[in-house]
Amino acid sequence: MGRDDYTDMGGTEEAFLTTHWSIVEGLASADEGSSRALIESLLDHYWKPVYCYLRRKGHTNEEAKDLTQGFFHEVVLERHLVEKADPEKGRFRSFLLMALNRYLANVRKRDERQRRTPRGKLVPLHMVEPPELSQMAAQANPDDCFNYAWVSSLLERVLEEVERDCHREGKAVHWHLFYDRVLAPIMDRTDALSLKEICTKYGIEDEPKASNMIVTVKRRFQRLLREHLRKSVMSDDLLADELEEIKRFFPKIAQENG
Amino acid sequence: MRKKPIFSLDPDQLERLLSVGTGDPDPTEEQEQQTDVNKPETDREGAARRGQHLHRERDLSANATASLVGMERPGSQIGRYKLLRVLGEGGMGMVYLAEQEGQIRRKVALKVIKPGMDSKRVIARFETERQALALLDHPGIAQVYDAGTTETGRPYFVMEHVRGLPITGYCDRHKLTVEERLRLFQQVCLAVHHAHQKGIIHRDIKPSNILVSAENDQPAPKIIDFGVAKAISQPLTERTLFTEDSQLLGTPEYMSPEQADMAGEDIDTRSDIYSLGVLLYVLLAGILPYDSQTFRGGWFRAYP
Repeated sequence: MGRDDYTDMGGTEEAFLTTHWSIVEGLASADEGSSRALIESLLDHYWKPVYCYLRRKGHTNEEAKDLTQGFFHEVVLERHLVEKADPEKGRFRSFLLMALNRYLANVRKRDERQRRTPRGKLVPLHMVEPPELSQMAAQANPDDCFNYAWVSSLLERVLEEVERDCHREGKAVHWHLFYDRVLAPIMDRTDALSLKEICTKYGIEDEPKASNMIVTVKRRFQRLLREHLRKSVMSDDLLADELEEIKRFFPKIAQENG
Repeated sequence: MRKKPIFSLDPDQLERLLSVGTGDPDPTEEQEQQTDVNKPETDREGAARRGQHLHRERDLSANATASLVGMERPGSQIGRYKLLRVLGEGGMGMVYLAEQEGQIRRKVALKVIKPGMDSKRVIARFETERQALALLDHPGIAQVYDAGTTETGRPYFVMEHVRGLPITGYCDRHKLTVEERLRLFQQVCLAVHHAHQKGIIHRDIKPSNILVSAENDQPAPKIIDFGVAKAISQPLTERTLFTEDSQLLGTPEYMSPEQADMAGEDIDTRSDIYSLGVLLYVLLAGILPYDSQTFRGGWFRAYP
């Protein structure tokens, strides 16, 4: 069975072991060293949506970074956030947002600004370039803003992996084709190059071959997206629900109705 | 490799990327197919929609949709506007996102009216109203910038590009309370009042012409198409609620009896107020005051 025949039907063991809910459950019993690794993984996946949400709530860049940092730190150190998590009760994303709001309320109550920035930062966020959402996404309400940032973060991670895989497997041209024909028209709002133009640009024999190459990358993108999404839900059964939920993030533009 | 960070993309671009990743049709197709929530789908529309699902590639679909109704397609130019993509298709025609070229560069919504209208008369009627329309200056009213005729002779209107959900959809999505709905409705009334004070009647007030977006966490409604309905309404002799292929033009559910009545030409601000009343009913009760099918079957003709 070649690499391209790989299937994840029924879920992969690896994905099952690393659902984000599993991380939370693991945190309850982990020692400090493992906690740190687990929480860094969470931070990596969720800091941008949390940061964007905080910015939309009116916090400055520095405040938002501090609060983001402090929030993730407390999820580890003050286990009560973790203990209250109930995978049966919903999506990890919603749990995190709920926990964040509880944290913000606590911070406001305590009003102890210094405690917001914990010692020994997990990841020095001040070194990291904060994401800049599009004007339209940034004007959305904080919840929508969080959701857009979450989808952006997910797509960014998945597409980076697709690109990396393509390069590693000697399929760099496949990736370029996919980029020019599928991604660029969406991201730059331009017309897609025709298959004929693509063939000329990359010296590919015929259009069906170019088309197949694009489909190969598209399938890889689809498989990896499912794998990544699978990590945020507890079971394969919930994956379809999760996809539907994500689609609801996007309201329909309605000016067309005449 | 990627020139643009994904974080800087607009929500509609994210949605389209996501649809590639989930193997779904491009959501811009769905937007083209979207019909008014209160408008029953005709057999023809249903068949067209189901047929379009066969086309997974966006460009194929845009071509197919464009050729179906003999319309322009993204990439082409109408006057000084470059069509970027299809925003959707409504009862009046196709709506495109377009870029205005020249000294003022901006994104606009460009609505090309379906064939079958007397373009000269439509444009002339728009021109007479133009001065009055220019007086409209209200945050709750989307501006209509321009009008003209395409090379193939169809009238088009250029409007402020507004994003948002139809007011009914917004209220449901955000689970607004009765009080919040009333407050939102009040804002709509104020915008309509502003227009009435300037002597402009909308003539086609309905949920899909009132788009709501969140500004500073507060819902901000914007009424689109002011001046358009009047320009394309036809004089008594030619007046018909149905186009040649028997598709309904406009949304009679929200029309006042005097407006829906074939003979009525004396429309005044009260017609808009009637429509607002129907809208208020829908916002509070969640359903139309009448059964849509019965209504379209001739209720409004029986009770002018």
